[in-house]
Amino acid sequence: MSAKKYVGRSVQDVNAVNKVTGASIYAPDLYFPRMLYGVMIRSTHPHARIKMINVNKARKAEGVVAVVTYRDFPGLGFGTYVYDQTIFTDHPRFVGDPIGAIAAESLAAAQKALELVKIEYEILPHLLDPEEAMKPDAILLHPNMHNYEECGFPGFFNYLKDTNCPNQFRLRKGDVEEGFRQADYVIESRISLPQIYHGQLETHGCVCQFTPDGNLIVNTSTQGAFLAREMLSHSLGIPMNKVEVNQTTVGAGFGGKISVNLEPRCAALSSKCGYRPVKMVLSREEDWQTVFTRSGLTGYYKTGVNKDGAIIARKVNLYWDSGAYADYEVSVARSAGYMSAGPYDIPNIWIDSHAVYTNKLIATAYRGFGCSETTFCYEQDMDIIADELGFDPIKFRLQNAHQTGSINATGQRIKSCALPDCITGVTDKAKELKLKKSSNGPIKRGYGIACMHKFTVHTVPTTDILKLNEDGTFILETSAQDLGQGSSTVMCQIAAEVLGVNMDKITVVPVRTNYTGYGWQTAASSKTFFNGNSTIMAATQVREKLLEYASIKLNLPISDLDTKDGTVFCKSDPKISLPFSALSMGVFNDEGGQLGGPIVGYGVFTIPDGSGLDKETGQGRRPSAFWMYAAMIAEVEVDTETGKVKVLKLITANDVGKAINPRKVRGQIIAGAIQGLGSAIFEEVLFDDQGRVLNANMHDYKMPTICDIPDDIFVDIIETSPHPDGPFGAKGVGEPSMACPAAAIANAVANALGGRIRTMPITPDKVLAVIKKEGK
Amino acid sequence: MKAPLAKDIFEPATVAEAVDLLKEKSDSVCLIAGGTDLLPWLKDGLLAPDYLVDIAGLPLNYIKGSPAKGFKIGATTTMKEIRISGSIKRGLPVLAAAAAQVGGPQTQELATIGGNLCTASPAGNLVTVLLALEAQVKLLGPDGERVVPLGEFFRGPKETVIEDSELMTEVVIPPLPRKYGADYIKFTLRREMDIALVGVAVMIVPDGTKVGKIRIALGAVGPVAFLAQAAQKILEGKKYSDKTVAEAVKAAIDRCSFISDVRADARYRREVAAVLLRRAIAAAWTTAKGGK
Amino acid sequence: MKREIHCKINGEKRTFRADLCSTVLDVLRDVLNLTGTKSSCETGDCGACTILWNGEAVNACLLLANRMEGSEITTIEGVMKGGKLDPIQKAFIEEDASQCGFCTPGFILRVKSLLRENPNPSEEEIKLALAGNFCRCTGYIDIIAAVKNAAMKLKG
Repeated sequence: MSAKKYVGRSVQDVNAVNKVTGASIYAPDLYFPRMLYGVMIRSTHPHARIKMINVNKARKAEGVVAVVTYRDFPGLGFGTYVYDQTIFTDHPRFVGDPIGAIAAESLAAAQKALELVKIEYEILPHLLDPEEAMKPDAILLHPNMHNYEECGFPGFFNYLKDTNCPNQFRLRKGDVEEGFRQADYVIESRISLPQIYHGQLETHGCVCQFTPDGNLIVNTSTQGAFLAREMLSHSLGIPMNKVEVNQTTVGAGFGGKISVNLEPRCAALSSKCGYRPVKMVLSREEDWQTVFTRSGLTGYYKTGVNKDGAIIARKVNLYWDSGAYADYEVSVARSAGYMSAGPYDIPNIWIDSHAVYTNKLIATAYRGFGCSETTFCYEQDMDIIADELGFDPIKFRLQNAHQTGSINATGQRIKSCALPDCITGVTDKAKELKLKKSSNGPIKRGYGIACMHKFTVHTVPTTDILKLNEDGTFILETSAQDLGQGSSTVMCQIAAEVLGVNMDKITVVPVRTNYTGYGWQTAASSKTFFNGNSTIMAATQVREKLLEYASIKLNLPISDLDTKDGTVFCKSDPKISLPFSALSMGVFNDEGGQLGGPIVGYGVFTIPDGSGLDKETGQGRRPSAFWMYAAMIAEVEVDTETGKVKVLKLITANDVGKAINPRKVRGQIIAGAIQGLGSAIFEEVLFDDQGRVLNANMHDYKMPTICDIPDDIFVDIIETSPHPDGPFGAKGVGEPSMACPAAAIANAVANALGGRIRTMPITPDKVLAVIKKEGK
Repeated sequence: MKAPLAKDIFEPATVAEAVDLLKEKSDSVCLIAGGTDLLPWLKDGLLAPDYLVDIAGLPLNYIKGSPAKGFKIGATTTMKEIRISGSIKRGLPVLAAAAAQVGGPQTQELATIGGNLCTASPAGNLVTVLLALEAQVKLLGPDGERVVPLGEFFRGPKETVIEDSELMTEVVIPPLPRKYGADYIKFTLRREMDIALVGVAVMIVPDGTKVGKIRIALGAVGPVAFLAQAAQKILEGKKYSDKTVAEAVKAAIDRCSFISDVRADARYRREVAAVLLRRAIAAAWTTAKGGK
Repeated sequence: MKREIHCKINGEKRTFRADLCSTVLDVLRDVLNLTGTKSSCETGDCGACTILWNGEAVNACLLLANRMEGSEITTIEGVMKGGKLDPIQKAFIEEDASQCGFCTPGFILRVKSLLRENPNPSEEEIKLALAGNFCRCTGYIDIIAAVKNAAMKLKG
C-alpha cells in the first residue's frame, strides 16, 4: 500500500481548539431570545394510575407560561423499536415517569410552580426484578403489548404474549441437549448484574421551538438526530420536512443519548408556548433518577466441554432488566443474544435472550449492547472449566477461538478476525512483565484473561455529502455524529486522503437533519466503517469530477492526471497543474459559457449482502457488517483482610482492522478500559423497594477518578486482519474496549483468591464473603 | 436562573457582629464558612434558612502553637491551609493527612476545620482525628465563650451542642507528649474523593514497652464518632503485644452499633473496622517507637 | 438579595447585578453568559465548574456570589490571551486530552493552578492534584500526558 498522508496518522482533532477554549456550545449553553425553561411533572410512584391531577394553581403561578399534562396529548406515542411510551402518561410505570411539564420565564419559577401541582394516584402493584416479572402469575406491566405498533426495523419485536417480555431473541444451532449428553464435562452458572450509569459529564438537555409556519426546531444533545426526528414526527404528527433536529456539541453519549427522552416532552410543551423556545436541561440528580441506565442482567449459562478441550455445547438464558419501557432494550436483548455464546467455535448453541419490563427507569444501549455483561458471564465459565479440567486457560481459549473464516453462532462467516493475535499479544506481554500469582502477608496478587467479540449493524445506511467551495476548500456533511470519539476528525482524514488535499481545507459540520444526509444514529462502533465508506464514495465522486473538468481544461487524458495538495496535476509533467479552486465552478469556455457547475459528491453506504436473522433459529448470512475482537489481561492485588481490590495493570489488544487515527483508537481503548474498571469494582445503581434510585449523585455513585486508574495500561492495536469491506481495512473499536475489563478483573481476583465473584461490582464485602466461604 | 439559596447573606466584620446577627436572625439563619457541605444541603432543601451569615472573612483563620504547647487552630482555617502548614506537617502530620483526604483539592480550598466539626458527620475526617487528639472547641455566643471537649460536642449525625446563636471560634489541641505516634486510616472504595466507610484514628503515647496512653477514635461506624473507651482501658498500662491489641480491638468492635447505609452494610463495616483498628494501632505504635 | 457586584473577570473590571445567594456558577453562566464553565454534578464532586478565584482553583457550584465582590476570577474564556492559546491548551490539543470536551475547561483551570504551585509535578502529584476533576471519555492517561507536556512548555 502506498504511503498515506493522513490515514494511519495520529493527527490532531479538528474540534480541539474550541474544546480547550470553552467555545464549543453544548445544549445547556444555548440561549435564545424570549427563551423559557421547562421542568417535568413526574410520578412519585413506581406503578400507578392518575386519579386526579390539578394544575390550576401552577398555571397561575408567577412566571408560568404553560402547563401541560397527558390530557393535552392523548394517545400520542413514541419508542425506538415499538411505540410503548406516551409523551405524558396517566399510567406511570416508574418513579419519574413524565406526567406533564411546566414552562416558565425562569427555572426558579418553573420549579416553584411544580410544588403547586396536586396529583392523586391509584397505586398499583409493582415489579422490580426481571425474573419475578417473568413468572407466569406476574402482573402485566404492558397488558396491551400485543397491540403496540412496531417501528424501526421489522422483525426485531418478538414479544411473548401475555408476559412482560417485549422481545425474546432466539438462536438455535445444532442440538444442545445432544451436545450436553456427549460432553465429558458440563457446568452451569448463574450471574446477576446491576444497573450502572453511562456517566456522561453532560446530562441530557435540549431546546425546542415551534415557528408560526408549523416547523419544529430542536437543538439537542443526541447521538441520533435522525432517530429523534422520526420519533418527534411520529409522536407529534408532524411531517419530517417540518421537523429540524440539530446536534449540539455533545458532552459524551456512550449509548445514553441514542434514543429520545426529553425531546418529545419538551417539544410538546413548547407547542403551547406561543412560538417561544423552551429549554429543558436535567440536573445530575434528576438525570440519574429518571433517564437511562445500562440494563441489569440475570443470566444462566450451561456449557459442555470435551476432555480434549473442545467446547461442544452452550445454552444461554438471559433476562435483561429493561425498566419501564422497551426503548432500546429490545435491540440490546437481541444483539446481546448474538454475542452471548462468546467468540468460540461451538457446534451446538441455544440462546434465549429476553428484554423484561420492570417498574424502574429505562435501560438503554450502553457501550456494547450487552457485550460487557455477556463477556463477564462466559469468560468466567472459561476459567472455571480450564481450572476443573486442568487446561491452560490461554491454550483453551486459543483452541476454540474464532478466526477469519470461522462461522459464528449466527451462521455468519467471519471475514476479518484477529482474535488469536489478540490473545497471544496480551499473553506475550504478560510473560514479558513476569506476571505471576503471589502472596505477601494479607496481600494477594493474581492475574486473569478475558476475550470478547462484538458485532455491529448491517442495515443502517450512512450518508456523506462533500461540497467544494469556490476557493478550493470543502464542507463535509457527514451523518456520523462526533460525540468526542473523533469521528469528524477521522472522516476529515479519509476525505483528505482520497481527495489529495490538506486536512485543514475541509470543515466537517455537525448533523442537522435539514441539511445532512440520513444516518440513523451514531452507535455500534460503526461510524468509521460505514461513514468512512460513504466518505470515500463522496470524495471519490468529487475527485472524479475534478479530474474530468481538469482533463477538459488542460486537454489531457484523465489517465494522466492525479490530485495532490489541493491541485490536479499532470503525472507525466507535474509542472502542469490546476488548483481545485480553478475547477470549482466547472469549466468556462472561450465564449464565457459554463460546462458543469459546482462540484458535490454524495456517498450512501450499506453492505450489499446484509441480512436479518431467522426468527426461530437466529441464523442469517450477514447480520453484522463486521465483527470486532479483543483480549485483555488484568493484574490485581487483593487485600484479603479488607477485601479491597486494586487493579495494578491492564494489558489489552484490540483487533481494529486498520487504525485510521492510532491515537484516537488508543484513546477509545484506554477510556473503555477505565469505564470497564469502574463497572467491575465501583459502580452500581442502588434502588429502594419502590424502584427509587438511592445514589443519584457523584459521591455515592462511584465512577473512577484519576487516582483509581491502574499503574500501567498497555495497549496493542492489532491490524493483522484488515476488513476487506472496511475503509482502508478499518472496523471499529469504541465498544469492544469496555467489554473485557470486568471479566479479566474477575478472573484475576479468582486467581488471587481461589474463590470467585459472579457479580459486579466486585466490592470488598463480596471479596470477604468469598474468602470466608473458601476458608482461605 | 435557579432560585437563590437564601434571601440574603451578611458578612460581619467581627466575631461579635457575627454573634449579634445570629441572635437577630435566629428564626431562620445559617452560618457559612467553606460552604462545601452546606451548599449541597441548601440545594437539596434539607436546610432552608432565610439568611446566611458568611464568616469566611472573620479573623478566625490561623494556626498557632507547637506540639509542646499544643495547637490553636481558628475555626475558618481551611483544609488546604492545614494540609500545607509546615508546623502541622512537622508537628501533627496525622492532621495534615486527614485534611488532605477531605474531598478533592477544590473542596480543600474552601472547606474549614470548623465546618467539618459542625457538619458533625460521623465519617468526618477531622472529627475522627481530633477526637483521638482530645481536642476541645471554643464556642462563642451572646452569653460569652465556653469550651467543650470534642467528645461531648456531638449529639447525633449532623447534631451538635452548639446553640442557635453560637459560633465555633477555635479548635484547641492539647500539648502533645514528646514521644507519641498517631495514625488515621480512612477506608474508602475509591482512592480519593470518597467519604469514609470506616474511619479510625489512634494516638499512642508509649511508656517503655508499655502503652502509656492511648486514644482510639472510630468514625462512620455509628451515629456519632466516638472514643473506644473500653478498648483504651484494656491497653493502657499494659505491655504492648498483638494479643492485647486483639483483645482491645474486640472490645471496641463489640461496643459499636454499626450502621447499614447506601455506602456499606453493617456486617462489612464490623469486619473491616476490626482490621483497620488493628492496623492503625500497630502503625501508631511503630511511629511512637521511632519507626516509620 | 440582588446587589451590584464589582470584580475582575478574566482581567476585565466588571460591574453587574446578581443575587448574592446565587452560586458563582449560575451567575457566570446566566447573568454574565460565560458558558465555558460547565454545570455537571452541582455538589462539588466532579470539578467541571472549576474556576480560579483569587488564583485558587475552586468549584464555582459551591461558591456563593457574595464572594465575587472584590475578587479576581478566571474562567476558561480568559485563558487564551491575545488570540494565542495558553501552553496548557496547546498541550491538551497535542496529547488529544479532550474528547467530548465537557470536562476540559475545569481541568485546564485546575492544571493552571497546579503548575503555578508546582511547576514540575511527578505523576503521583499530578493525580492527587486532579483527583477532583472527573473525565469519563479519556480514561485520564492522555490528560496526565498533557500536564507533563504543559509543564515542559512552561519551563522552556
